[in-house]
Formats: sequence, C-alpha cells, structure tokens
Amino acid sequence: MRMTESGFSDQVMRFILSRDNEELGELTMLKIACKLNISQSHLYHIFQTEKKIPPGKFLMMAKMIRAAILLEESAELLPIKIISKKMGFSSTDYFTRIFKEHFGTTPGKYRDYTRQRTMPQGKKPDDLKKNTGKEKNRSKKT
Amino acid sequence: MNRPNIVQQAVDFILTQKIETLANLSGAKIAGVLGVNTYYLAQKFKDHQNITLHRFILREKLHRAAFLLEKKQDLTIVDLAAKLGFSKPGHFEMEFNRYFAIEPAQYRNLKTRVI
Repeated sequence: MRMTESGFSDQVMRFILSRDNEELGELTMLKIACKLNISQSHLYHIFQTEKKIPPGKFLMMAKMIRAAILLEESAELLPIKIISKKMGFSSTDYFTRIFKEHFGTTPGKYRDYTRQRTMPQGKKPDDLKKNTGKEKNRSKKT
Repeated sequence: MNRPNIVQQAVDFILTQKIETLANLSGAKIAGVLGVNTYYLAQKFKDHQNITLHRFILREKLHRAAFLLEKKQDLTIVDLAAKLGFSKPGHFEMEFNRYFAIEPAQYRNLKTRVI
C-alpha cells in the first residue's frame, strides 16, 4: 500500500470516519484490511502501536456515536432493532450491551433522555416513562 | 434508599442534561439534586458503574463533543471546548484524544472523504 504524509493509522481512521451510516454499518476490520491491502494482524499491530488502542475498538466507538445520533434524530422513532441492524449488529442484545458500555444506559432509555433534553421546562421526566415500558423489559435482559 | 437506584438516578440526571447545564455539572450538584451525600454518591457510583462519577460526566461531555463534530462543521475547537465547560481548549483536546485516540480537529478533518 501507499504511504502518504499522514500515517497509516490516520488512513484507517479516515476510512472509518468518512463513511456514511450505511457504509459504516457494513464495515468490519476484515473489510478495512482488504481495502488497504494489508493483513488483519498487521493492521492491528500498526494501529495499536501508533494509537495505543485496538482498531476494532475505534471502529466500535465510531459506530456507537452514529447509533446515538440516529437514536436522537430519527424523527419517526426508528426501532432499536433497525438501528442495530443498520450499524451492522446481527443481534440487538449484543448491540444493547455494547451501547450500554459506552453510554451507561440502554438505547431505548437513551432515546427518551435525548428527547427530555429538548423538552420545555415544567414537563416532568415521568411523562415520558409511560411510553417506555416495552423498552425497560428488554433492558433487563442485559 | 436503594443503592443501585441512586446510581441509576445519577446516570439519568446526567444524560438528560442539555449541553449548557452539562458543562457546569459536578458530582456535588448531582448529589444535591438527589438529596444524598456527595461522597456516598461517588462511592456508590464507582461500585456500580465501574467508572467514577467525575469520569462519567467527562465522558458524556466527550460524547456530546463527537456529536457536534459529526453534525456542525462550523464550530471551532475553542468554541466547542468553551461550550462543554472546559476552561482550556488544550485540556479538552487532551481528554478527547485520550478517549477517542484522535484529536478533535483531526476527527473533523478525517471525516472528509478523499476518494
């Protein structure tokens, strides 16, 4: 592969960060390695050495940030299952677990919280809780 | 008071804050709102979340920073740092880098696709 003035890890990061949601969802470390014409283990070692974190972790963080934005912005309440699929997760439970590790709460609750942020003052958080019974049951599984 | 519950309430409180209030949020303020002792809350939080309350607030700020970098292309790093309540932009950049392994300016830069 060609080395440019920006380091190899920066190329990997650009490859991840510049994807749109659909493309990011389909991205795996194997695909990145193929695209950059390098073995997965070689990619891992260079990235880990330069950035001090595994490339897979960086990819996962990028997916989580986009997932959180999708949760906040999908006006017609895109189901968690769909968002999970969009970000390339085969299992919603796995997505929920990883999401909780990053944000401290489940995707369903997170969506409610982002809506409360934009609520006019005077509205009680309890007003929203009534609508989230289904999501709460799901979160208990994790 | 149910112990995990107070931790969940703290998490709820942090995540429901707008950026303007998140910027000046502290463990003491949250403890005040929830009506518990600051040290008690800090201890329980660490026990149940495996991360300190202080660090959790910081991490949430960094998440919001990433959202803004994803969405708003015009905000400068200095403005972003101030918006999130960092007194020094350098401190914000360091913490962002420590969490995402990339500096905020670079994050924005690399979002631009080159073929």
